[in-house]
Amino acid sequence: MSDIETIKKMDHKKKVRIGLIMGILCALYWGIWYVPGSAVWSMDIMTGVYDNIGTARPEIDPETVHILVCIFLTGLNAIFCALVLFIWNSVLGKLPELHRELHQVRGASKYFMAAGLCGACAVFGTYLAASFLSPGFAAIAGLLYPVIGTILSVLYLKQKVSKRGYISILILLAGGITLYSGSLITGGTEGSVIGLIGGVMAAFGWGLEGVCAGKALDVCEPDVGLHLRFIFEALFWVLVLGAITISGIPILDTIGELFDPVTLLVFLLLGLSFAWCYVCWYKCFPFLGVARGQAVGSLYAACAVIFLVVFSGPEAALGYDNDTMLIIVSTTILGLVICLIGSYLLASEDTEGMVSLRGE
Amino acid sequence: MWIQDIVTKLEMEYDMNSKHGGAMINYDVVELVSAGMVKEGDCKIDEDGLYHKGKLITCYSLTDYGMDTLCDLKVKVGGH
Repeated sequence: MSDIETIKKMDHKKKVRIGLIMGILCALYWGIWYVPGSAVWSMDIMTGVYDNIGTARPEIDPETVHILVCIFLTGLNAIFCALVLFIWNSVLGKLPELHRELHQVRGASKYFMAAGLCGACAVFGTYLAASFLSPGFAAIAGLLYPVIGTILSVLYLKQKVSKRGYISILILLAGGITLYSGSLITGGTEGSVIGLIGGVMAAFGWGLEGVCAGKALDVCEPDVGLHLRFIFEALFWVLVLGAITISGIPILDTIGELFDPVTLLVFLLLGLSFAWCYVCWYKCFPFLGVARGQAVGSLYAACAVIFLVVFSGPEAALGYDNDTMLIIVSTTILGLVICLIGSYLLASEDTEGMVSLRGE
Repeated sequence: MWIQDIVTKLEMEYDMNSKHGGAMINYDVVELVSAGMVKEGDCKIDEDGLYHKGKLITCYSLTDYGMDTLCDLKVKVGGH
């Protein structure tokens, strides 16, 4: 093999390695998002919403109040992500590109608008599933998004996925489900249709978002496209929250709590972790494709467990007591091992025949 | 078109005359290859320091899919 061929091969491997690193960083940031995402529920800005709505509108049933609180949190999540990305793109000098892509509706921004709505559905569904059923169920439901994304990316974007890629995706899914199966077996699944619907929304939302974003990312800058996606999602939730407020429900009365330094810090961490998770996610798509990128990103389930154990302690993170410790801890460890196997298969695949992600 | 020519033209077009700007443009070309719109052609070692001395430089061309996408974008974006 000539020197140039050798260098080309190394160059291609380097690109795939960059894509994998971006995918893993996505999983890390996504996993750590669960830490402020859990902490925020016990803060005054959230508990106050329950009290305010309960006082002002006692006729609203507790389930509906809970849904309203999820809307409030999802909206703030999107707004802080858009804010963080504004700072990010300003520093990188990409605001002129943001202006350009925003105005190219037919070529670009309509796809990011669709991605923003799909993402809104996914995040809202996650909060619904986590709060009505369990965080474990929400995480498993979210794990199904690579299945949706893979099918649509192959059919709609004409991207190619190898047999090994498909197997890796299935192994990662099996690992994620095993990870949380202990929690589901031992309890915490008292029925809630709303929680189940939230789970479906999470899976379809993230899967569809990957495909919508992938369509536009062929011709757009990833950081700018992502910023557009969050701007559209934030605008959507501002409209929804505005409509709810106008209807007489005091959903925004606790917004002043954001001036509390600790509350502001927690929401900034929410925005930073979620925004950077997406930055890495979108950056890995051009190098790995939607299917493999989403599959590597699904390591978030394992990362979420690890970070929650570190910051909240194993009992709070995994939700076990003396009776359920053995089954929950063992399924957690088994699930983590399976996830690592799936990731290794994906990372060690020879991708020389896949310089382009699109089938010929 | 060789990468150094692509970078030079796009740096002027988008006022990105910096090392960072050049790196971003290179990254964008790589993305277009991954997307299947551009393909890699001849390669050579940059012995003359045209772009990155001692590194591999590549000549790129549009694929059929890339040409179709370009025509589609011309209609949507209204370019010339």
